[in-house]
Amino acid sequence: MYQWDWNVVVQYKYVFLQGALVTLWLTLLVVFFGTILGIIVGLIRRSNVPFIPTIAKIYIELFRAFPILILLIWFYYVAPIILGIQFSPFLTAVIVLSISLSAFVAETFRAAVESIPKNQFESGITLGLSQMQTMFYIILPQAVKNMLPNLLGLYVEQLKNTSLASVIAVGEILHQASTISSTTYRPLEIYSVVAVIYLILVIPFSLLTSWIEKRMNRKMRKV
Amino acid sequence: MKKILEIKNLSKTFYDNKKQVALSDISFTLDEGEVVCLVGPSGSGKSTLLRCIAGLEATDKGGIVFLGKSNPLEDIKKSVSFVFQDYNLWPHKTVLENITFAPVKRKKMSIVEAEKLAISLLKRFDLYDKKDSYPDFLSGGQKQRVAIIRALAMQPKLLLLDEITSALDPELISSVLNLIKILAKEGQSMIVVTHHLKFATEIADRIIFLDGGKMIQEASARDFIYAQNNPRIEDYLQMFSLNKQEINIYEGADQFQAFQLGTLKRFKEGSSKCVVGSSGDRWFEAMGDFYKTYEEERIKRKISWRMIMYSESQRDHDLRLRCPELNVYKLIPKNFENPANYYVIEDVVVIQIFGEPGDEPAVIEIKNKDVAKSYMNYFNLLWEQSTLIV
Repeated sequence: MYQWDWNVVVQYKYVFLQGALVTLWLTLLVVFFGTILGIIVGLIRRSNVPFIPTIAKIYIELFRAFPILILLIWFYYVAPIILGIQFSPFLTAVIVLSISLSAFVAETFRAAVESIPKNQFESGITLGLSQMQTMFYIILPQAVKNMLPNLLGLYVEQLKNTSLASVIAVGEILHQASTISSTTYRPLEIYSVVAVIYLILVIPFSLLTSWIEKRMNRKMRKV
Repeated sequence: MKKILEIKNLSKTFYDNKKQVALSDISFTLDEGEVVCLVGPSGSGKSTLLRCIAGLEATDKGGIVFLGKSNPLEDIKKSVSFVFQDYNLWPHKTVLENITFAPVKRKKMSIVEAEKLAISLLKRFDLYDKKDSYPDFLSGGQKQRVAIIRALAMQPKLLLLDEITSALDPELISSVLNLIKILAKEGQSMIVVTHHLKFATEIADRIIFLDGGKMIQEASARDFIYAQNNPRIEDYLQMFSLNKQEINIYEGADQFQAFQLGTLKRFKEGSSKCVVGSSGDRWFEAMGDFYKTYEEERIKRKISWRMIMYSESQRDHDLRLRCPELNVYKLIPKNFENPANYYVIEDVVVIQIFGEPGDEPAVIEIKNKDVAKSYMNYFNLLWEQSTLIV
């Protein structure tokens, strides 16, 4: 019979907390940069300039295809050889996860923009607005509403993906857990706590998602 | 009058799946304050032509000259507004925001100024209480009126309307059409794509008929409807009347005159118009200055008047003496007098209503062989009992 010993959790509580904070911080940075980059790529994908959209398309397809784990390892170990710059593990994780997220955001963005009828765009143009004005004031606000549920789903996914950064020794929750586990030999307790911490981090995200969806729907119903 | 738009040999071909000629060699001009209606069967290129003018479609050949400029895209963006069939209001903005947004962004109006303009337009077209509503809460007719107001708020030199009533329920159409009639009276230049022929005749200075991307006819509204001689277009016009019989009502002096001049062109040379109930000069008054044009045409085409009248007016008297072979009048006792008179010519019965002096005249046209025959019988009966005026 296995003897559970939860003392180890209490003993290392600050290490867990620190790991959770790093996970959260990493997620926030990735969400921020990934979304901005994704929308830029999405806009480029829809531009009229010849060949430019193709480049965006290749970018989207590549970074959606590569497993994040491969990208992290490749970027951490191979990039310094090619580029001559060594990024810190944390910065590497931010860059790689942001790029990966951006590819998904760009695709979500494209689908959301395409779901807006073409004549919404034309109505802006025929009232004398520029293409940019029409995009930002007419299409984007409607598209964002359409893409928000998908986007929040991607963010939750990305929060879980931060655990992959443990392979390049980013001090997020999973990495902290494996460090503790290797010195205390109590993996079951430790990983159970990790699972609970992820749950605690993800649930507010899900609640936020449904709250925003409800709010958005209500706003349009106001007479 | 100042010319604001000139279309020169405009052509457009689509290459979606297969090559499809949408417009070929279209040319026409539009003066300031003029209303041109584009009519024709579905797929004839009306909407494509309108979209080319608005700059929404590139043209292959030919040019558009707007306000004297042969490269007018910027001016078109600034001074031409387009109203779509399916309104295209912005669902995330309120009615007021929909209207004020473009003037603020594009015309650099202050928000206060734009709202003042929007509110005056909304009040004028009876939509003020909807100013804070989102478009999803408006009826189709209200949406389309808001879309028109949104276009007007840009104070366009030219307004393009693309089948603006097609998506509306029949009972909502009139509210939208009335708005357009007001704009036409005020001298707003417009190009209107429509299936409502009656509406077209009421607002259009000219009607252009398109078929298969070609301009088949460009005519005044009067000639287009009342004096149509192109068999292809006659077929098209026929589709809008059930079977062969048709009842049309035309109100107001303008339409009264247009109707009389048009029908005269339609009837065969040498036919005879049998009138019952003529008294006084109301017909001549309703015809205004067009009376002389009418007479010239009538004499040229040898269309005779056989009239039963209660009393002969001075103008009738002059007419009878001038052309005795074309004007045969008979007198009938006053107790037969009716408030309206009618005439029968070929298979058409026309009831003319003049009302009290100063009222607008109106005509009811009934195209039906049997009705015309029964009216003719009654005419013949009265004719026999009447005394010839000599």
